[in-house]
Amino acid sequence: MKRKIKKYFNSGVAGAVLLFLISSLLIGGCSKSHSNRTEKKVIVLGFDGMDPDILERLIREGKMPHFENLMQKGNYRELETSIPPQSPVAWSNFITGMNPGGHGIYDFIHRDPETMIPFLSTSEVRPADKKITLGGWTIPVSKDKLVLLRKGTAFWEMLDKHNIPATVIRVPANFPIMETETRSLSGMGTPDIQGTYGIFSFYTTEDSVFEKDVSGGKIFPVRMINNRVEASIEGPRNTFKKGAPRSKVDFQVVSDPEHSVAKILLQDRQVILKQGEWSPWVRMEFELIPFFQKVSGICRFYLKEIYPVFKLYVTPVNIDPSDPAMPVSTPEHFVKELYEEVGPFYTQGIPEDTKALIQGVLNDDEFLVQARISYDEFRRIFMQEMGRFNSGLLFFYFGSTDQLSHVFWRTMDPAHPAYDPSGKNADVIEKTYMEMDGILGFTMDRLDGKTTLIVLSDHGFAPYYRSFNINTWLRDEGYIALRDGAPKGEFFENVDWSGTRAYGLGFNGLYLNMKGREKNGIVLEGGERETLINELSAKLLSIRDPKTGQNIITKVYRTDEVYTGPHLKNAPELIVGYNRGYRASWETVLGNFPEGLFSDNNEKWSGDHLMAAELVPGILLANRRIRAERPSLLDIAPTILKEFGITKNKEMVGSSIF
Amino acid sequence: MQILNSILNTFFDLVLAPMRSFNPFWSLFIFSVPAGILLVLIFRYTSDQGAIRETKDRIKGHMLEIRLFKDNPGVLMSAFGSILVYNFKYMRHAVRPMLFMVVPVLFMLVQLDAWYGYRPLRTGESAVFSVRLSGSDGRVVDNITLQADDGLTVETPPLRIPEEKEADWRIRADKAGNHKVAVRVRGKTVEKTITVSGNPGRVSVKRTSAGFWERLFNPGEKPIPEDSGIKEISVEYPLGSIYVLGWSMHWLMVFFLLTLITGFAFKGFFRVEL
Repeated sequence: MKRKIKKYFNSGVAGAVLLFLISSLLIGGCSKSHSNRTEKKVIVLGFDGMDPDILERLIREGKMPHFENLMQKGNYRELETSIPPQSPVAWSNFITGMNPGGHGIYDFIHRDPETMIPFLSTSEVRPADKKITLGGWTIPVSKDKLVLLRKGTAFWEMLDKHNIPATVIRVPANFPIMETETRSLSGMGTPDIQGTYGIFSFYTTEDSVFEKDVSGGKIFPVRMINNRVEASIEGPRNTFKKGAPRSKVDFQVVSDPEHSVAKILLQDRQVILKQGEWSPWVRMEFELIPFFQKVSGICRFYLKEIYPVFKLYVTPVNIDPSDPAMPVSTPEHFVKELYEEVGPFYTQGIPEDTKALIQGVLNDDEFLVQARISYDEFRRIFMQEMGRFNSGLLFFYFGSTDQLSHVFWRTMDPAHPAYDPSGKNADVIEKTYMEMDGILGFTMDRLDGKTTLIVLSDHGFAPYYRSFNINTWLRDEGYIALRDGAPKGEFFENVDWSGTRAYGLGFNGLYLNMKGREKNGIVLEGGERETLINELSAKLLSIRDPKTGQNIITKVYRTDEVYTGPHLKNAPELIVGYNRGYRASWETVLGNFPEGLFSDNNEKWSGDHLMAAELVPGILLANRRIRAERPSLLDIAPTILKEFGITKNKEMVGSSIF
Repeated sequence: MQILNSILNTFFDLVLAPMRSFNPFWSLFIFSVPAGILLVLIFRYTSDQGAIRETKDRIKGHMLEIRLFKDNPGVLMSAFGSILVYNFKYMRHAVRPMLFMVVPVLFMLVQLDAWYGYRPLRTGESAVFSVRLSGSDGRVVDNITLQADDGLTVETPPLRIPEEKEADWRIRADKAGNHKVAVRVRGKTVEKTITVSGNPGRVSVKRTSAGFWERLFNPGEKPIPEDSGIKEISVEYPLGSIYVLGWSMHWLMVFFLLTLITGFAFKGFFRVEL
């Protein structure tokens, strides 16, 4: 018998069986399921920046039937936003159930108290500390480390611990993505392939143009010879090379001006576009070490004009969802599955290219097409996830309400300095809300009796008419000292810290130059700090806009009163709550000193929410009765947990809304 | 050549088509296992098995020598030298079976590339359709016309590149099926097939004019008649990929791995010395 078995095995049948088993494992082994199915289902839809006033008006006008239906069947409240009402802060409150003292995100922008250099608050790249240099090459011995700076426990981590299946799509402030068993895709905060929040490229034969960096993009002059343009797309820095130059991919455009058509040739791909058309996503590989190390990215081309002036817009190169250079999902293969199911899509955190619009590279109509492309991609992902959602939690984030309100407020507000009386695109925001109504309707059609539906926004919206230069004001009031009396450069370049008591950084933060915290701090704890806080608060609240006579600041929050938790130490001492219509200027938030205290906002970025939290509440709707009279973003994580019978952790500040 | 191509097309279609609705890995698996066995058998019957066995034994003997006499540099050097020599001998013994295998492997690779190297267009998807002329007058590109059947839409006017005697269009797939595009130049018409399907399948990337190598590497369609004035017509199909463990792999790597594993799995059964 033994001999028979041995013979059987030697015969190769065993080999074939083994081969089959290995193959089955290779194909099927990638799907791993750990979570228990639960009867309970919770769907949370997050509409960034959906404003209660606009929503209520549109409901009154009968334009939001599904929201109206949900209000009638369930409940509706204004939702208390975060202090300050900025998306990374607000969504961190939502994720952790803690305020900024607990999760450590106080603003879009933080500063290193040692160097006073600002940085983006939610993530950081810590470069490899050990490197070997060989000629022109630098070989890192350890890896660069991407660090999520948001602290605290995300509610889906707790669901995960209790084996509740969860899918969390595009929640902001979750990049680098937290390693959990939850199916999640990172959202706002996810960089493009260059590691920025999105750098577009614009190629043109226009005479007056020279190569330059603009906010959110780069302009490249090109020459057309024999109907051909040759250029390159910039990729990630090649840290394997000395000086870490940017990697590049060359491409060529061959055009037929008579027929207004052009062909883009990039690596082994080619795309034909008519003038005014967008390409599908085009994949490219940036070579870092020849034959060994490549980074894959995707971009779309927009052929704005061929003749007489060649104009080509290229989206920021996004992390390729079919071969991500950085982890943008958990499990890691989830993003590839989505790619297989719905095709390529924007992976960068904020896909709407408002920078290209503001720089005039895209006009309003072109920008709207670009925004629509990204919205359609996320809608496809949403449909896909709704189609397979049958247990646990589904969270889905939509950002277009926020981004389009930022840049199209001017079209619907006659009081805005940038108002266009032609009325063109005056209904963009309205239409965007109505799209979200469609999303809600799609969701409600699929609800059963076991599903709790929560719809929320992180903050509301307001006009942005006038800018205030808080650092200029601090200088004029003697709180900031400059070395030779004159401002120079950005990032507080010319500030004499030995004579500076307070400084503004970020959109709402006002820091004291504290001894022992800031490198050259001079303000002492105790009486001096208290006096300074009270003095600054009183003065800020009394500032009036000479143009309108209005108070520009309605509230100054002391963080030691409104924040709790271990990360209070590095927070600004005061959060400035601007009045409706006012905001800190773009220049002042990075430590510049523009001349004058006020300026009209003539930009397309015309709506905002970086004001007093009470002026821009979010919305909250549910298909159940909301018991909380004044629900807050901090209550949502405890609410979700309670829906699954899980007790919130002791750090969570809020409580269930039901 | 055309008859051989037709036979091979039919054979591969019969073998691979029944599995087209599954992950392409499975049809490649079903093909690679017998292919691996076939290649092992070719190796067995075309190689000098005795000589290979003896060469491998000698290599093993010298490797043992290295382990036993690791403190004796003279013996070590001599063993290394001998291993090198016998490795060359082994390679020499492998040349003949390799030569016998080249022909079937080449046909297999060409056919498999048509199945797995690209995928058919999906409904709604667009692709670049290129026509390259054979004459010397580039201005003729002005006079090329295109007529697609009702499963396709020609989305752009021609992009003419006279210096390359080329004209390109963008074509959108509207309906599943094998569709025809008629290219008309100087009163002569040549058709090109475009495959539209949600499943993997054989596609013909290029239809070319006659020529041994062109016909060998583009077996999907009949050669373009010499007098048509067209050198080649091509469609830029999307690249195919096979997902294994969430990783996208080139079909060639999957095929070589599977045939290699099969070869080693069955070499005992067929008593083949590899």
